[in-house]
Amino acid sequence: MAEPQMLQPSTVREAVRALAARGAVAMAGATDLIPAMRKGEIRPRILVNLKGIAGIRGVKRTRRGIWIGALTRVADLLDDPVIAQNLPLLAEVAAEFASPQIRNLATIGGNLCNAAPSADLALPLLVFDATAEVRGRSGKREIATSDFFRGVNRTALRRGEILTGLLVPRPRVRTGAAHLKLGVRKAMDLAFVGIAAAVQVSSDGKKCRRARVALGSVAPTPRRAAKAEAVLEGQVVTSQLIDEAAEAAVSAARPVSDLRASADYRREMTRVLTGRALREAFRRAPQERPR
Amino acid sequence: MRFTAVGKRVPRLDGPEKVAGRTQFGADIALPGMLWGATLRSTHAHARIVRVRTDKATKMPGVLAVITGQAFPTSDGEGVPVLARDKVRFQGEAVAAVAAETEEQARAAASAIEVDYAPLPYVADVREAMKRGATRVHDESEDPKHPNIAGVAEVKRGDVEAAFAAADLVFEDTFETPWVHQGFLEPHVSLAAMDPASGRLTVWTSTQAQFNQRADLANLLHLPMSHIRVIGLPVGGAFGGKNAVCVEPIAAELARRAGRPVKVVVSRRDDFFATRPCGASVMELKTGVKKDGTLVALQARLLFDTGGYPGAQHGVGASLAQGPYRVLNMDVKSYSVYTNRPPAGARRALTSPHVHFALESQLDIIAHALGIDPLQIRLRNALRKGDTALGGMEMPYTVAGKVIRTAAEKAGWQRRRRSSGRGAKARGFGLAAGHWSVWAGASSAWVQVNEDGTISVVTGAINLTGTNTSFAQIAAESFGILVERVTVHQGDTDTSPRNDGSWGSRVLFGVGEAVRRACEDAKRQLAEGLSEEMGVPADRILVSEGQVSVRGKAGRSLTLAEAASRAADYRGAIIGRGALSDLPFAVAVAAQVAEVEVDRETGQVEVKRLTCSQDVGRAINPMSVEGQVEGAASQGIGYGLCEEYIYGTDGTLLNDNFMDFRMPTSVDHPQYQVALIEEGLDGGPFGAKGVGEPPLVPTAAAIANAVYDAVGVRVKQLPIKPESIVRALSGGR
Repeated sequence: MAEPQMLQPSTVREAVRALAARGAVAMAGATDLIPAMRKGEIRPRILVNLKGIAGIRGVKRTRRGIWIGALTRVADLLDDPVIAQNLPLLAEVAAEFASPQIRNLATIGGNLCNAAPSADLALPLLVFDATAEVRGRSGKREIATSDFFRGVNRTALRRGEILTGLLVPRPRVRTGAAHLKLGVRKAMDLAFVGIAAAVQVSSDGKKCRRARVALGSVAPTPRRAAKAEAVLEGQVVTSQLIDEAAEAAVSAARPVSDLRASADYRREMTRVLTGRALREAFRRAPQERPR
Repeated sequence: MRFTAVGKRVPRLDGPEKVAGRTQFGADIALPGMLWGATLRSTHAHARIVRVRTDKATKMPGVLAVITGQAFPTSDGEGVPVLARDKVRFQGEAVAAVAAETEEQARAAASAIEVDYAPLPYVADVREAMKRGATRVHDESEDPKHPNIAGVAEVKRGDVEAAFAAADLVFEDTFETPWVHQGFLEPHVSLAAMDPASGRLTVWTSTQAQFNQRADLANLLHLPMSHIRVIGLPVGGAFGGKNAVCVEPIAAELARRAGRPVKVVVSRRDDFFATRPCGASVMELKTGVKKDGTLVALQARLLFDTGGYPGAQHGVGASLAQGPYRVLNMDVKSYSVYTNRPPAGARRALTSPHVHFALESQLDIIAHALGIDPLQIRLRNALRKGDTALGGMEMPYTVAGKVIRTAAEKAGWQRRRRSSGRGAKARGFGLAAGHWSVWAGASSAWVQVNEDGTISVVTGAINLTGTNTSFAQIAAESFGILVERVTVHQGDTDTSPRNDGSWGSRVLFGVGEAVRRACEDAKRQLAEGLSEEMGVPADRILVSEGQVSVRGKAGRSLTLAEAASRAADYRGAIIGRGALSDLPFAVAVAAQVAEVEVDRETGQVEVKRLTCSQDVGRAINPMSVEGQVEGAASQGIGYGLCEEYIYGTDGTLLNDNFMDFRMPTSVDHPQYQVALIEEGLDGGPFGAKGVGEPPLVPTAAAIANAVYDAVGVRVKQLPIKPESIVRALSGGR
């Protein structure tokens, strides 16, 4: 196998131009890419190393919400003060992501663009209605994260496009969120079911105003469970309602049987974990105390 | 007896260099002009080799040697061909090998070798393989009804039929264990060089048994043993997986043909699917008991999957079948069964973890059925002095009951609180015991007293588990000096006395005793050498506390340094010799209590606490022994909960890497509590016996029993999967 040519663009524009070539593959932390190359699953002709690009790394507050540069490393999400204050769930998920060594290399953009069904960081972004910022030869565009994943290892990115950042609207008041995943072991494992939930409650804390549920590892892509959300929104929150929502989440699952778990078990765990994640999210939703 | 060095907690002497990353492992070493070797492996689980064409590969750039099965007319000491000759019997079996200038060239050339296979039906399950008319793994098999039996062992005792007839209750259960990798992190690696002038071959390798390697290589390469030097390198994990030859003969034959050194580093994938992992088993037990829990009869049929080539599982398995319990009537039939899987190798306490998973699970089933406390049923039946144990030997002491009781007490067994009422999480406790026998084999050591009063110990035993540190303690104790005054050298086959391999928990027990005897021999030589000068007979000269003195005459003493240099003037160097093969089997008993939390909704099992007790004879280095116990138990957690080879329907191993073959990580471990029982002294150094293997034996059963205690689900198949617990709890199948 021929060694791929390595390009080191320093601007997004250069990267986009380089990626237009046939056989060009974008590289960031390379924690998914190198193993795939070793196994011969990907044979790039050109590797475009994005890590030298300035301006698409780090976390910022903007008028439209929290902006996270695509090159932000997973480890950086763990102790970023803006994330801690506004999107603590993202830091929680980052803390359970692979191992410290991998977190020090892997980027949030890479985790999303690799588009594994089990992509951990996709779930909090989905429940916070995040938008992907994309740049290509014809300029900028935005893609809702719920439209970003198109299949196993497939995204909505077109040839020559790169993900530059994520825009996450600041969570609304009285919102609580939670994430749970199941693997065979507690670390260094791919989840066989991952669930994130975010709920906004009414000012009296009784009703569910808004609900988001995202499922990982139980379908070709990370995805929202719209039916589960619909069960909850506008309703008075009861244990029975949460059970119904958990049941409804299963209909969004399209699991396969593989080395990690059977499809049946994944469906069942989708229900169990959705229920648990929703309960935890409601518990975390700050309530306005009566004066 | 008061000790000064034995029984002290001494950090491993080779610890600092390992932690600092300075240890040179096999993959780190290189020689000038070195070539790289690569193998071509079978893509079929079972096929006849019609033709192997190497002409294309031979002409590829950088290629200096290509070999096929014809290079090795003989099989290795365990009956496994180095390169398949007429037939491949498992997927991954090596068929040909190449040496080239670079690793990439070698790999490219290996994959350019063309093999025409005529695929055969294959058999992958021991029960299938035992059926009449099953696919034959070996054509030349003599038993037409059971062509795949590789070995049978029987243990018969008493009158089983009569005992079953007299039993109050009879229990029949079948248990299964999976194929697993031993879990060593350093893949097999070997570097070989042949000196063109002398024709002598030197092999550097990651092995547990350098002298056995030498003997096997002499056979395989048709070289005189004196022409072979094997240098055992620091080993990055083995657990039985590096007992036998692997790529050593391939590297050696390629080096001989190419006339240059050749290094072969086995890839992780090959290491998983093509070396010698631990085989699966199916164990059918029929046990008769009295209402009070007394075991009266055991009938067992044990099927051990030995893969494509012979193994030793059946004999060891049969000898262990009674567990650490008194069973007067037994009829055990144990088989090693051929299948189209890799040749089964050893793993820590060969077959004992399998057998005890079955026995100890069934004992729990019996206890619950009879309404007897699982601790009491074990104490009632525990082996006592004089009982027949281990396929015929007589139990030399009463210690099993104490080991079991200690584990229970330390775990708070009587106060244990099962909480399976509210919430999704239920807690449970499980007790299991197990035994293992330790054979010292042929052990030897040299000890030199240097003129500065320090001691050099030389052995040919591969230091896997910190045994060199314990040797230093033994020598320090023998001379009454500080451990720092002893250096321990692991020699190679040219520079050290012969030793059996580092397996069977034998190194400290046997080689440690050889070190102790060598020290005594050196002390005797010192005394004899100084007898004339000191003007007293040698038997009145005493070597202790780093001094050489005359018994009963205070003040007339020499330091060890003075004594050594003077004695050397009279006699030459003081070199003690210890060599033995006369130690009896030592029996070691281990017991563990697992405290688990089971999530009733997800089926996830978390081991919260694991309490381990074991009779160790004497803990020469308690820190090291505790490390062995915790390490083995952690391996048992993996065996119990997550490790298994998963094969596809075409016989392909699907999880051939550490991402998909899941061993517990550091965060998956519970709190360990270890109790060492220093009784049952057994002829090893200062009473020590083997400790490394027994603590793997009870773990999986202890976890299975705890799962039952927590949620009432009896799992008879390892690993215990969350999915099967959920299924059982929801009443489905």
